Amino acid sequence: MIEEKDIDRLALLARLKLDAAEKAVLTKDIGSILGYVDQLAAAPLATDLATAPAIDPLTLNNLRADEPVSVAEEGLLQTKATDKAGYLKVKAIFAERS
Amino acid sequence: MKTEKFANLTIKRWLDQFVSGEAKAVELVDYYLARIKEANPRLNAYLEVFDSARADAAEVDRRRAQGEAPRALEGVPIAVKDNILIKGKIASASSKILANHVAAYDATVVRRLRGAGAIFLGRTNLDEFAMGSSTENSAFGPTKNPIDETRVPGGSSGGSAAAVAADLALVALGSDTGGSVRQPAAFCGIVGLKPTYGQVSRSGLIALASSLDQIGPLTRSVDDAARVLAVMAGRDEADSTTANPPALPEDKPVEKYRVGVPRHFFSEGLEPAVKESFDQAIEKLAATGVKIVDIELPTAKYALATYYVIMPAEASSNLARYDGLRYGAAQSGSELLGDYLETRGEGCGRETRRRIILGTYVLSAGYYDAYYHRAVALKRALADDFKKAFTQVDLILTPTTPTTAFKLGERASDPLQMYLADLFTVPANLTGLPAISLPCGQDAAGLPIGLQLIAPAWQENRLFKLATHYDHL
Repeated sequence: MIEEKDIDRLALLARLKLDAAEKAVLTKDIGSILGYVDQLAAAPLATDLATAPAIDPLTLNNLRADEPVSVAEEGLLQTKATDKAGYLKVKAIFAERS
Repeated sequence: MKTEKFANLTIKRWLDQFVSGEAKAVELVDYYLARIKEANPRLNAYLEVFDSARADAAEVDRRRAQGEAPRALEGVPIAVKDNILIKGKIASASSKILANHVAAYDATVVRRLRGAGAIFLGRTNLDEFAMGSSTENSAFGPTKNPIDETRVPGGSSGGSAAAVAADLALVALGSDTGGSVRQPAAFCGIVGLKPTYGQVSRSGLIALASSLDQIGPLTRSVDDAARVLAVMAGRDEADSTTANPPALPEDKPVEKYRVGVPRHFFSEGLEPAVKESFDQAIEKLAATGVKIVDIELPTAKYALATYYVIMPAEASSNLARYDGLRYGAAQSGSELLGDYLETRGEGCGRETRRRIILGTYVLSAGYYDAYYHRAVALKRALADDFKKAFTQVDLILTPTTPTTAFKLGERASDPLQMYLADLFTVPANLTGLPAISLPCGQDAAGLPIGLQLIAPAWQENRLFKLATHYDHL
């Protein structure tokens, strides 16, 4: 059974700020969706999970030649207001403790 | 200007008019622009109409005046779901977080369609990041169903479906991760195609669940869907999952098709009117010699649960990029983590937040095996079911949706009820198979009902053959 403290932890992992009212709604909603999804536990599987392929065999993966290609860098950077001389401006990862 | 000649046009009829000199591309674009101006304030199908459309049409007319041969989609005005990039235009995915995001490049499908002479009319509304079945999850307001404006058009490509159904575009593009082209097509009474996984490049499609996403057309005729697919399909180096279709053996005549019906799968929760229309469609086909066969797809009953593990898992991963640093809107917090929390909490809508949380849960340590890994194994088992079924039959038929279009707001507070709208459409995404929805009747209130055809991989030609055959009955 999922609880509000689980939602708190998931929200932090997912980098989402949620208010108290939404946490309560999400606890109910996610609980109800997981209740539905839990039927997967009863599904018979011919293949042993442990030996099932981790990569979906249906997915094609025709890689192109490993050569550099233009990625329209200028256009991509223009999509952010914070770029400066080709760099994205971000907050410092480490802050000094006072 | 006589505009009756443009009403509910098909690509073939348009090309006939254009090639014969009876009509100009500018006239056709003007026809749609006038209709959009009149109807869009009510329907909210388009988020933006492009000023460039008229100039693009003038260019098409200039080419014709110079005697250049018409291309496959010469002058065909197309509405584009707003999660497909058009260079220089906003691509918002109907999210606040991308509300002002300008595309830096063209999606491969956009480039190919433009190369075939198509004209882009505007960008259409969707459920945020294509997450939804009603287009109510848009940050820019819901789209209404043109058949009954108190009802949803379906989703997530609801804006595209409404645009075609209301004759505000000749054709439209959508994306289909769990039914997002076929379900709105069914709710709006038009044709919607989800191609084989790998048939159409997703380069330039804002990703939802990459193992399931496909771009597909929404059209008024089966022939239109086939024409648009022919232009979009084929290997693209920018999407490593694409391939050129393998050579196929010669197909049998449509009257000799064996068509499988997995009744055990869709018997529950089916509205009586949908069942009746479906049964009538089967009878009509059987009367022409098509052999109808009962088939079993034992894993299909787990398809929706499987989908609601894999899709949010992939979505939570794909949407991690919207952190305010690289794309879109940014909110400032007290430190870097605060920036992320504020930006994503503020920029992502309610359903998006719900699915990110769900995806994070099913991928987290301790739950990964029970949910994600098991779902991937079931996805494989479902593909095996279909493979086995296709040794007995050439195509599989189901209703597209269990119900007709529901009322706006009716399912908004119950996510599980909303998810059930995808019950019959998700298997084609989970197995990568091509599927088409076409109109097969109406309920007592005049709401359209959709018939879904599913074919073996790369055999869209069978979908088109049987759908065309059905249309002519």
